[in-house]
Amino acid sequence: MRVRVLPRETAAAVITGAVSAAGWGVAVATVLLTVPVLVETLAARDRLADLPLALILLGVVLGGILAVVLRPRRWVVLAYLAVAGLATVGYEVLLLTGDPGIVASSPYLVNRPALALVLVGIPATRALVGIAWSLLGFGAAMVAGIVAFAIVGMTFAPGYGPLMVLALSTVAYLTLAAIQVRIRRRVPNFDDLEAETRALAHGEDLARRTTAVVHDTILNDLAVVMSAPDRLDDRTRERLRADLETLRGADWISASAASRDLAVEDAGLRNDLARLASEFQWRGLSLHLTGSPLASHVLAPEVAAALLWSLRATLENVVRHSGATTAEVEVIADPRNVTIMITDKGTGFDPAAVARDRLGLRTSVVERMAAVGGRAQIWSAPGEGTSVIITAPANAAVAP
Amino acid sequence: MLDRRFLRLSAQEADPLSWFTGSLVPLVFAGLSLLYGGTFAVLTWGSSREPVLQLVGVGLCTAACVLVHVLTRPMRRRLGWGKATVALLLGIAGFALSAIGYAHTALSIELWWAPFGLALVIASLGPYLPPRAIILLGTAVTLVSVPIAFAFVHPVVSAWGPAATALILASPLVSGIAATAGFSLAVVARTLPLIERRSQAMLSLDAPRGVRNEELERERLARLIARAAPFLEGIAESGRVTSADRTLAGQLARRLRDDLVTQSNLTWLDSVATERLVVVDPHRRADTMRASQRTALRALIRAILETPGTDAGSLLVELRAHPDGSTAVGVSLDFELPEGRRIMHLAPYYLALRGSVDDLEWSDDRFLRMTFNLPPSSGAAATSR
Repeated sequence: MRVRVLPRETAAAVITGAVSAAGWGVAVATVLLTVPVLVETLAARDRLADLPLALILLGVVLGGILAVVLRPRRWVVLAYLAVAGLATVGYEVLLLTGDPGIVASSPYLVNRPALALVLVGIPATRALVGIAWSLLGFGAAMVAGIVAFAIVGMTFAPGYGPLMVLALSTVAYLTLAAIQVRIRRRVPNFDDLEAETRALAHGEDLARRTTAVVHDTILNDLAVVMSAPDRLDDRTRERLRADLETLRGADWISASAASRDLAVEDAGLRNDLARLASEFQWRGLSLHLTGSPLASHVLAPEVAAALLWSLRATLENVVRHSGATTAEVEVIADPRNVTIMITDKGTGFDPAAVARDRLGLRTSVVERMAAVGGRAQIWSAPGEGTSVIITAPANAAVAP
Repeated sequence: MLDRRFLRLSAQEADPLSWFTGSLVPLVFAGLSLLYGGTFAVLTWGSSREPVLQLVGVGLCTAACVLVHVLTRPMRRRLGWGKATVALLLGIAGFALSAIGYAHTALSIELWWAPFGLALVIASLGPYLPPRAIILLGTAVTLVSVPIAFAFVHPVVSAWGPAATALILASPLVSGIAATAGFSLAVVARTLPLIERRSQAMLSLDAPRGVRNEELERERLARLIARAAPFLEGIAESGRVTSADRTLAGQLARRLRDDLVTQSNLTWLDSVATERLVVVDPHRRADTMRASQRTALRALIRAILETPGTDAGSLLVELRAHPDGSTAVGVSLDFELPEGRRIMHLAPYYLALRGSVDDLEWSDDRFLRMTFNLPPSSGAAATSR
């Protein structure tokens, strides 16, 4: 999961665009609220005959607003301004014709459609573009008013409504733009911070791998030397050389490096398990290997490597700490996981009592498996032996 | 079909970082209310029987917007229905006082400041309330305030019939509700899918950083085995082990083991600022944090440490495991910066963290204290032998 933060430019565009949505809402409300006022006023002036046409013209304006809401494209808004502008001219001419007194106290009823012209623009991503659309709508409203008043031979009286709407929308755009400018100055770039987090996690993962490999190779080798006879046999010398080669090559540090040939083939993992069994049998631990076939399982290279290294580390613990001379290794493969269970009947231990400064199974098995999406569980008690279950995710299943 | 969450979340909840300086919105609306209402009150001073009531009404509507500003400061809890209602009641009182003041005055209700003033109070709540709350509270405000105003001003309105008068009084309020709810809905409906799509997309490690990490790790490995590797190589070559070799092997093993334990016990938090940060994490709970939580907490810690006035070394981060598997995290430090500047400096980091953790609490006196919870993790328990 990423931090729930939008890039500032995207957030600014969303918020600025939302001012247009607010304008659409007001435009719809304005037209709808005009209808009852119109009905009552025309009835009072005994002009109900003009009502149907006035309602049709308001309906045209309303339809135009809905068209913009459904398809907020530039050409749709321009078409809206043209069509709703004409409807506004018709509406104003209709109300003013033969009844100049309707604007005597206020042009409120007459200029309602003009307000809807100022309020409807495209969802602008920048404040200046939003203000420009409001100005265009205001211009259309003024032209419609001038034409309508000219047709009926009256002096143009636009009222304060369209100007107030223009002022309010401009203030809204500028306020939000000011907020975005202030926020851009204060908010850090979370994309960069996230990339840094991932780089740190990658570094920690590499450090864990190094710790586990050094523990399993050179630290164990030093322990072998501490208790070795005066003369080393060839197998021990070969093991020391192989471990040193593993550390010097350090291919396992590279995330992309293919680690051993046990990714896709049953034979690879089986051969490695056989090699491990041979190595530990030579060191005095008899292994009983049982389990299901692995031919249908695909393990990612790093998962296969982690599985094998974890098994090696577990067996190393059996040899060094359990006092047991035999161990059971069972391989269980299901469609999603490959699980290896290692059981010995040695001295056992209390996992809760293990000191924090003991590395063993923690780095070599538990953390190593967790790093590749697997898990390791340990059951043990003093005198009861130990069972370790290592589970690795199988990425996919292929036909055997 | 409309996602119900769009009606239940406010613009601020959907994207808190866009609104931590958003209290400018109520302040601008407070200014507009003062300007328009004040001008209208002055222009009608002579014709009103109770002109002072207009000034009081303007003051109340302005104060309502200012109250919203105060209630939505960055570190406060989200604005709930209760607090919003208090602000709206102030606005209604201003509207009603203005109506009383114009009770016997010939008035152009189309230009009357009070409905606009109350509509501005509704609008000032826009970024902080969900659309559903805006619609419900706005409707309630309209149903309460318009009849009150109608009762006082209708007798003196001659240009319009009763229905038109009521609708003209209600028009700014209805427009305010439509604008505010439309704005809030548009922000939430566009922001949520964007954020959720981003949250699902994991960034991949860029190649240069990955290669650099690998180089650093090879250098660290070389340092770790610098003494032991040549020693073991010599043993493997000669095939002989003396008692001096055994003693040296023991010394090298102890030193190497100490180095490995030290490295293994470090969590990612220790690497943020080793010398200026005290981390108490006995159960290694820092490693259970998700990448987004790590990013947000690391950014906050860095911002704190980069703030002038921070007492170096006083920053303490403590992680404690709960029996249910969740983790309680506490952050505390000494701070000497004035509160306002401190809040504005830390707000974006605090808000980013709030989006990634549960129950984030902020306590800010001279010492800054912050606590939050991390939900239980399904990760394997670490043990060692």
